[in-house]
Amino acid sequence: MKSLAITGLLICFCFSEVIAQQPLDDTINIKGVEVKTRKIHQKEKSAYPIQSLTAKGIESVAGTSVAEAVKTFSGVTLRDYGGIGGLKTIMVRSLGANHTGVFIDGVAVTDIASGQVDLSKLPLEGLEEVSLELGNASQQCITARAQASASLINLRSKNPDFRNRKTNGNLSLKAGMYGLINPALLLNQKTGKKSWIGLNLNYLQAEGDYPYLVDNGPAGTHHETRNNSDITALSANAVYNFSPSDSSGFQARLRIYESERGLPGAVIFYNPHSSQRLTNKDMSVNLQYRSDKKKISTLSNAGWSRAWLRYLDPDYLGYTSSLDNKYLQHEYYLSQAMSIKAGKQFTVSAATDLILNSFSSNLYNNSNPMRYSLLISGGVSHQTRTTETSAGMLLSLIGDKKDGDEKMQDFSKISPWANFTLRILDDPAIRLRLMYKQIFRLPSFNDLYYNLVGNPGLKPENAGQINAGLLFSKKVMGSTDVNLRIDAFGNRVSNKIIAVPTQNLFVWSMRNIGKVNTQGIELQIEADSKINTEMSIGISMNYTYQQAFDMTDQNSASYKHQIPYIPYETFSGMYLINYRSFAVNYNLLFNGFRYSAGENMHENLLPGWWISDAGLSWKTETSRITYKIKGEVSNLFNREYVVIRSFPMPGRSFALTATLQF
Amino acid sequence: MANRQLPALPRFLLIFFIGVILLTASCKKEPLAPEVKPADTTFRTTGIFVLNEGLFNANNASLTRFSFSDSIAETDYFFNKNGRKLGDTGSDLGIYGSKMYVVVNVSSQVEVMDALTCLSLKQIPMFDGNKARQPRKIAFLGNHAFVCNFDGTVAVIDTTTLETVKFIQAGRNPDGITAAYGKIWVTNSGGLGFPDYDHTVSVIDPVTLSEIKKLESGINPYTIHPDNHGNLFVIARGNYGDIKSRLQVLDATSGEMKHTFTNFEALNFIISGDSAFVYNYDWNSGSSSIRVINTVTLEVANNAFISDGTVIESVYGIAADPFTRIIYITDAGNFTGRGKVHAFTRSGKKLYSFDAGINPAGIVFANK
Repeated sequence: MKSLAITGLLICFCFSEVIAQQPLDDTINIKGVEVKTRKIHQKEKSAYPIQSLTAKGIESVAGTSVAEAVKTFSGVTLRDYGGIGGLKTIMVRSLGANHTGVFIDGVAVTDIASGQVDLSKLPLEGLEEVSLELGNASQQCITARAQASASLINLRSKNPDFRNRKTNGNLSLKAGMYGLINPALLLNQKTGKKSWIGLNLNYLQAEGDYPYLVDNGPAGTHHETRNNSDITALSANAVYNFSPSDSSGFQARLRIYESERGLPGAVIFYNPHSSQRLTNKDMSVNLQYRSDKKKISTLSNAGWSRAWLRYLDPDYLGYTSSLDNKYLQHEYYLSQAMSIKAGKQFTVSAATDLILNSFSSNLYNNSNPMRYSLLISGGVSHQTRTTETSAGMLLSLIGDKKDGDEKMQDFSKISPWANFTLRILDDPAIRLRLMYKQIFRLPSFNDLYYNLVGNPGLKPENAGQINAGLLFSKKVMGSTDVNLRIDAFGNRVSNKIIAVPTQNLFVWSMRNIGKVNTQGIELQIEADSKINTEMSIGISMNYTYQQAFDMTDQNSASYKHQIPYIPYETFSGMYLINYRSFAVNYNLLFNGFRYSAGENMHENLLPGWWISDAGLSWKTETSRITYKIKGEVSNLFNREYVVIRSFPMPGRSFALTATLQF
Repeated sequence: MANRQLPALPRFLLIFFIGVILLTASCKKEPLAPEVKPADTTFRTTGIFVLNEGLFNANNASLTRFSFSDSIAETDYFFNKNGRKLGDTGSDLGIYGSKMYVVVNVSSQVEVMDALTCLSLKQIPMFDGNKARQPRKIAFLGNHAFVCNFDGTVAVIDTTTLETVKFIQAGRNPDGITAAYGKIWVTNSGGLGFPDYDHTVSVIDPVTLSEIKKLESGINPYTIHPDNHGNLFVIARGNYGDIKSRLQVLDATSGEMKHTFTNFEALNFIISGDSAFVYNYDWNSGSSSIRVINTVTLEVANNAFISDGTVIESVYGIAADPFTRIIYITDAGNFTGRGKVHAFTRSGKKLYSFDAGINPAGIVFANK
């Protein structure tokens, strides 16, 4: 298994080496070409659903983490445990959080223990674009890993502009209610004709001591203050960029994240005390080389990451008198991807990734598992003036080991996918799109090996996705771009990994017993209008209806019931007006009712909620510096609500941000 | 130029409003709370209270009151009477004198109420400073209620003043308590010490309010009940691995473990007369079994108590009415939805059933 993986990778590297030595005149000269027409965003023509928020949209989102931006996308259900330090993961089209991959500038953020990425750990500041993709790019040169999940969150950092100055950047300070202080510094320095370095520091601290409603009937309802929900976090990124030519580039990235936070836990009636703490120390290094020639593009990646986590429960009633668990994971990563244009109509792409994960902890029965993954992907795409057809597959070969050399199960899977788009009309632009993707999620190390809970016999959880959509775009009244996208989708999940009580109600273990069928529609409307030289308006609205039924067992009380925490309906609206130096925005988010457990009975019902955020900003420019001040209010109407049962969300809060751009 | 384009604004508002109208028009209506339906039974004597554990971190422990006069099972009886909930994870209940006591584990409270009206008399917190003691089970003797706490203590509550008089140190993570033969017996599970479980039973003197001695049991002991012939029956839950969950017999006089039933697994039981009704739930296969043991001969009297084919999905609790001697068995279903209570004759024929809340575990009998 291991030798096969290394051979595969070597072949791929050698091949790319040969290709990279082709004559330089293949290079396309992009410099100096200025595109005058409006750039059509990928999401307006893609064969598979893409949603994105660019800088303007990101700025109008209230809050500090990437989760706040992602929750505005359609099909997304945010699981939010409340507050700045509360765990935030997403479920896309009712698939579990483990089915979503997260990439920052092409580098995967992973957690082999839980299989889920906590979006609250990723700051929103300094990002140029946040996007969500549900399918495989057919023509691009991307890593195999980026094709190995049902959906992808892509985060793209701001690229520096050195046209006027060799040194530029941003200095900002955000301060808000409940002890929020969030300074950030972005500094870019040109170090040569072809190279630059960048540094991004983001420090965050908050008390998180917001009031919440204890909803305990007419005699017991009162307000209390969240305790033990403080957080301090530091996120630091450094990048070195070297571009030997216009069509190639080398990047080295270093990412550090450290945080210490309280886990306020569920609200327990008559017992408000909580004392559990969580500490994270993460670090990653990634090297990337990209080359885009006329016919051949290549992308090489090498990376290493380390994540250390400590969970401390001082009130634990075991005989150690406190629970102090420490977990350490490492990842080593190599990837080679390429795409070749064959003639005018065909593009062929292939990628090989090799990933090595290791995990250790101080727990009893600690099994120190390791995982070797070899991912090989290949695809072909055919393009005409009106159609684009592509198909491919991902081959995954995965082997786990335990306690040094004890061999655990191997997994091997072939996951096919296919896309098709047809341009029906040019003006208004109407496109039809069809997408099919078969994928799986591996059981995480917690699912497999955690004390008592883990089940080493677990199989991967399969997910098949189909999507059919119509895309319209039209320029109306000369200056208004209107985009409308309607998608119908279906998911089939089998071998769903779910926790069931196995020894008693306190010991739940993982089993491959779930089947879920999801059907839904998504409706997205976007409009951007430049009304005159001083005023512009942007509107974006997303609506999703989905039913995700538990099809596991006909005799079960939850058969054909909506699965937990998936609302039938979600809506998000973003409204933005720019007038001279001012920008006003209003964001609306709706989650319909849902259930906290499998049986759709009234005791498990969680009511739906509407939440509004609003912001107002003003900026002024001098020749050297742009000053900007922004005020924002989250939960404008002070609604009391929960996303996860027993985890109350903050009420209305204000924050103020001052930014210097130099 | 600019003027000509101004109508764009109203158009946007139009798009916006159409969106909102579409949304509100299609809004799926939230279901209303269901109505309480009378249970289908014709059997009538007194009344029953069922404690529904609820789900961890969901604050939905509840009391179901089944009244024989009108055969109505009213779930959330405590809430309906008191306008607030019991709290998180109900773990035991008992009636002593005119008062009913409900032990609420995660909320760390003992809720004391009038046994007839269910109106709360006092909520007794079980805390060590800020730290929850996590009360588990309750027993009564003399003018005291004894509550074993997961922090290794037994709280002594004066049943008249409802004040906590003392915390007695027992073993690790006590998970069962009973009053018998003039003593208080506490099983120390050490359940949070995996893999190093406790394996002792603390004997407490109800006069000096202190631990006299610790007796040996199988590892991870749990429910304990007297047979009223000088013995105590104990469940030792084992390690959920190679050591299985067993029923054992402890001689109260000598303090020796005199018998272990090794031919079946046992999760919980009740003793009524000279019979122990012992149930097991196989978590892997999801099957429930209930057998009858003769407590005098220590022989299995019946390997399958239910004789009329009634299916119990997930047996979760058992009780015997001291007067009618009817056996009540609770069914937790899928552990996240509505549970059920079934009443059986001594020969295992179902008399009637009624609906309870989530994870019905404890039953007490109200007598006027």
